[in-house]
Amino acid sequence: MTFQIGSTLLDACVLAILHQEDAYGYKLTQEVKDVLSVSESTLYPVLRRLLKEGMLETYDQEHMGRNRRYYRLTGNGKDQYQFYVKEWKTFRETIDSLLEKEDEADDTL
Amino acid sequence: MTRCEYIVQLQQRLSGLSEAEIADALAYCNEYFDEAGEENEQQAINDLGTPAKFAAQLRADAVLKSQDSKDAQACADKQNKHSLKNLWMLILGVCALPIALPLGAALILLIFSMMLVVFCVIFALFIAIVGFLAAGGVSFASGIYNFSQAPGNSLIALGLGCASIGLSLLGILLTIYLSRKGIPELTRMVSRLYQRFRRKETME
Repeated sequence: MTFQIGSTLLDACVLAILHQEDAYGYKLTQEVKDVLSVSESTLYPVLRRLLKEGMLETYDQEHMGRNRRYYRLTGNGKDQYQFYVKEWKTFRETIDSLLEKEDEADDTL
Repeated sequence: MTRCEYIVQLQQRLSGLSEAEIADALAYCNEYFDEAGEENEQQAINDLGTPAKFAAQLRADAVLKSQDSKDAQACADKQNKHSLKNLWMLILGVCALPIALPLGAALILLIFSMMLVVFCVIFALFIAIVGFLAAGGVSFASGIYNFSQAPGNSLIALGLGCASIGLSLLGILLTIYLSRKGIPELTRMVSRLYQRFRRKETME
């Protein structure tokens, strides 16, 4: 990918994925890898930080004799997710207006 | 690297963090390896990042979070240490008084007497100048006064008078030179001594 995912954007993506559905570490990582290419960083520090900030909480579930630690959004997490959605909209519109302006210039040429 | 090696290396690199932190991190990685399955072990290692990187990221995040509370703690600790140190210095100073006071007094008296000597020298010079000037003046005057009566003696008197006045002039020059050089030098010595004394205190 040309553009880098900053840590805040990564947070937003993790919250977005968990907003759709609870997930455990491995599954979450696979989903993030599918969408973005975060080969640089593992998700563990992100998850740990979001946990400490009270955005996420964990619960354990047994699966085939193994223990799976699931992550889900807390109330704060949901609020934060909505906040990110709004922020992203503004950001995207700003960038769009800037980048599409150049396209218009090309068209008139 | 195998899974076992990865876990062992990671554990080593996480040493120093709290037990809970280490346990959580290792649990995450073990779960990750389990989910990936043996066939995806290397891919799992790639996903997690090298043990060094994993540990570094974790530490960086941990530091950032605890920095605020640590800063507050460090400030409080520093203040406590400072006041404690000052208290000890005070107690030590009081105990050292029996020796420190006479020593200090002796030092002050020494400096004072040195300064007194210098001033005495200058004063002596001054007296000598005045003396030479007076003697010279008198000699010169008597030479002129008695010139008609005893020219030879008068000439000697005149000559002595001139020489005496000359000596006094030289004395004046000497005094000026000494005081110009001597007094700043003396004050510089005293201030240097004072500074060294001060530095010793702050170093302790």
